[in-house]
Amino acid sequence: MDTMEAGTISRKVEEFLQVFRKGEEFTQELLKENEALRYKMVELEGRTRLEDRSGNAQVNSLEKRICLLEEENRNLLDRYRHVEKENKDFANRYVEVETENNNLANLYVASYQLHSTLDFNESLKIILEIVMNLIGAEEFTIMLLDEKLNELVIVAQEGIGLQVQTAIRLGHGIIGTAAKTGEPYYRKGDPADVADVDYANPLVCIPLKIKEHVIGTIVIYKLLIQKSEFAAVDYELFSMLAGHAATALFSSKLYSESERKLTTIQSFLDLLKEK
Amino acid sequence: MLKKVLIVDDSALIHQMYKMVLTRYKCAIVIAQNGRIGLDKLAQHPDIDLVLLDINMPVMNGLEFIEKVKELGTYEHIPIVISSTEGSEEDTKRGIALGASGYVTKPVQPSELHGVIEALLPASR
Repeated sequence: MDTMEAGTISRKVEEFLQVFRKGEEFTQELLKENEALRYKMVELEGRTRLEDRSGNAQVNSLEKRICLLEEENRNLLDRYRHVEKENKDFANRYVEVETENNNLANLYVASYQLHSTLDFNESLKIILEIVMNLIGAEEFTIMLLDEKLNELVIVAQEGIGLQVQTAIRLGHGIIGTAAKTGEPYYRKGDPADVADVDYANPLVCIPLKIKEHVIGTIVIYKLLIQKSEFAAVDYELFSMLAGHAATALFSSKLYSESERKLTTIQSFLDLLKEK
Repeated sequence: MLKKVLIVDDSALIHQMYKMVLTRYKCAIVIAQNGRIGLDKLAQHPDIDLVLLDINMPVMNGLEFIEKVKELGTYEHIPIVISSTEGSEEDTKRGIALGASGYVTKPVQPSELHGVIEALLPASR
């Protein structure tokens, strides 16, 4: 009995010891796991701290980059505005140069044509064409001064009827005064006011002068219907006509007279030779 | 290829002015003093690309020239631009009705002419 009891007790002790050992192993495992988890936690905490630090650095760097890009953007916008303004200036300048070029072309053509002939009638025709085609006048006259009679006489006209005076005394009325003083006359008001054609008060009267000597006038009474106002180039043309038309008419007249005299002298010499 | 422009106008001044404008477009220029000579020039130069035509001319005026061109039928493809000092809309309307491609009013401004040339001779510049 004792032996049996002792065996049972010994078995129970063995079982208890086994349970105890298992408990010990389990506790050891738990302790190990706990240690491992603690280690991981520390590791994670360290990593997070590092990541936060590098994240902040990245954010800072990105913010700096954004600032730089914004600055660059502002600079580019400023440059764009500047170039745009420059471009507009160039475009305006181009238009100005183009207009100037066209004006010069008109002046060149007029001047070239005026001096292209020594025929008096052809010179008159060219002046008519300039006033009509380049200035855009519808009713106008060219008058020359008859120095013996001291009168301005119409030598060519366009669009004028009988209502206009064919001869005007020097110093008489607007046209006579302009011819006497040598000062061009421009009527005040709208030049396109076609209902107001006044033959005693023309739109424009340009004395034709060689230096200070007036040889005649160009008198404009009415503009073409599509011509609403005088442009800057028209005043340039008036100024050019005042001098160049005068010399063209004067030289062609002299040339015609000298040609006529030459023919007379030649005929006279031929007659003398025959005798 | 060099474009060829026929100027039909009795004014030497206008010839000179058109020449100056057309020089920029490197166009060859053929000149006729009236419509009759203009028709002869068309026959001599069938490669003309554009006609700049005055309305008021001696011998044969601009409107008669257009009528004749339409009647002949050979040159109908050539654009015709009319110009007149008259300022009368009637002539312009009649010219357009007869088949003109466009018009310029006198005094002709070079800028106006540039517009017409660039529209009708696009490859000239």
